[in-house]
Amino acid sequence: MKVIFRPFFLGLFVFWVFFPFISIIIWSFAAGWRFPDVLPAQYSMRGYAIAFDPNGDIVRGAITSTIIALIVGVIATAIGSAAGRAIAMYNFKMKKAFQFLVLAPLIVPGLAVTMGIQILFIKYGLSDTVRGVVLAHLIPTIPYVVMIMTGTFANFDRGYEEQGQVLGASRVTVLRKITLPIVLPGLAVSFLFAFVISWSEYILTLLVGGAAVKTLPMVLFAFLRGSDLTLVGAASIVFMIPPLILLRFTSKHLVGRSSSVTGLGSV
Amino acid sequence: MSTGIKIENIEKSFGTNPVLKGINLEVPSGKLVSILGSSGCGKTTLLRIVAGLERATSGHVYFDDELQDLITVEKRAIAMVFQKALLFPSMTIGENVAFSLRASKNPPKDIDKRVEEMLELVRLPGFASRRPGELSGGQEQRVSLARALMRNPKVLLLDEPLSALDANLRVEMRNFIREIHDSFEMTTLFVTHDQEEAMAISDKIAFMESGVLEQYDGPQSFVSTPESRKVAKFFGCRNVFSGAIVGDTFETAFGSLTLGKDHSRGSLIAARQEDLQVTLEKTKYSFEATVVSWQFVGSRISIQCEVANSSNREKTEVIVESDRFADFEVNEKVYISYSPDRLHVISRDS
Repeated sequence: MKVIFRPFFLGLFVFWVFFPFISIIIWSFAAGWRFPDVLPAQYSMRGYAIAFDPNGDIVRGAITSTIIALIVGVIATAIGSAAGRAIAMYNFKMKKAFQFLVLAPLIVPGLAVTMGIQILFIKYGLSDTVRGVVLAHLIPTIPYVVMIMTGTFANFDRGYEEQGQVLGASRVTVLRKITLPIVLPGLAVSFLFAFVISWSEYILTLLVGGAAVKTLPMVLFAFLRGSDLTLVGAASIVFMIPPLILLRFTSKHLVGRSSSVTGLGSV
Repeated sequence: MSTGIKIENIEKSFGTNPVLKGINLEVPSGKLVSILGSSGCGKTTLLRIVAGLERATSGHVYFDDELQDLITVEKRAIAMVFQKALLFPSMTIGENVAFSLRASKNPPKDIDKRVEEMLELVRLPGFASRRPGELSGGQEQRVSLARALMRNPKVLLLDEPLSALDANLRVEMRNFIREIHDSFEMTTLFVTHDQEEAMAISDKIAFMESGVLEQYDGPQSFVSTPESRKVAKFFGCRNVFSGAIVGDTFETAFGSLTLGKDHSRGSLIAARQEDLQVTLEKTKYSFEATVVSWQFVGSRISIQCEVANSSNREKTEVIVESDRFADFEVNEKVYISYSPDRLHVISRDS
């Protein structure tokens, strides 16, 4: 029984995960796909021609999104690592309150917060700017980085840094040569999370960026309303590429030997 | 040329909890001194203050005559080995050993050669390209030592470097540390909780308890002339009696003991169990006792006796350790004989 069931459930699982992708991939090549046809009658590259048009909205949206997500990834990883280290390795007054505040954006809807600070953003000229969008994207990304890095630093032995110091290394050398290599898996995963969250963020971008900052999700939504499913399919494929590339480089830290990334289970 | 260490009136509190209560200690240049004490006595804190990893609440640390208090850790002429080997996981063994050289401002050109020489010294030749995870505990600790020595420190600080190793390896490694110390002749402070370890390799031992330096002496003195009851107990003396000196005798609750020449003054007397003997006949220096029980302790026997007090109705327990099995029964009346020169009057009752 077992021998039959295992491949069956595995197959079901793979189908479950990949079916939506299959339909998107087929749509992206379809030149018309009508019910009740199992497969489209005709194929074309029209979707991709538009999607990869260097002056088209999709390529420009992807560039804007990439820039924003990279900046958000770097800033969120830097700030979140510092906070994660503080929570994991030091005791200080109001630590519990600090921890709660840092993680609060995970529970409080970002939308509510952004509605509130939108007025401030307008006041300080951050509305409709890339800077403003980056700031807004830090709200949902930093808590994840804090969670991951708290776990990473909880497993980090402070002794390594002291060992470096007593061998004559300056603080900068200790950070660069000793600490960073050890916590690198955590940093990589943090960056991946921050990048992906920023990359797929829609509502915050809409509220803060308005029509001026056109990230890829904004463009996608516009296409969705247009109901040209071939184009939507091609754009969705483009949308999936950068996170997948990033995943390719960080996946080794998500599973397997690296035990330092355990923060996801600790909060 | 190595450096002497002077620790002057060091006090340290964590919050309101005093950990070190005025420590004064001078470590002569080129000597190996152990800081010995049970856990929580403040010995590691003291070492960390010497290293600069911890700041003293008050007091000073000098290397020769140079005040160290304001010198940061990385600028002090030290190297330190911790309980854990703490080999940097992202580096090979060779890179670990070379760490201090590469971190210095002018890295020498012959790093690889010097690393190999150092690895040979710690008897790990050809290990340079291996990774930390491939080594055993003892090997890791030797790499850690090599890494510390590579810095060519004036002062070597060892914080319980052997306590994570198993018993046989500990003996081997402590002798190895002594050998290394002798060939480099660098001033070494060695923190340990293991009395045997300290006795085996130290020129002098600084014995600490509850943040106080109880005694600072050569290893033998802790056995023959303990300065306090705590020291006597820690170094395994089972018989410490209170009383008073009257002329050439020490009056205890169970009778008077004859003292040797040049005895010190005080209200406690230590009689080591291996210096006493159980006999069936009265001898010149002996007192009457009853055998309560006995048991084998290794190849020796430990005999628990009771002596009736002359001043009250209670009894005093006396332990005798002998390498011979005497011909006596439990509850039998025997004599415990001693030699006056082996009795030691404790000058302090802390």
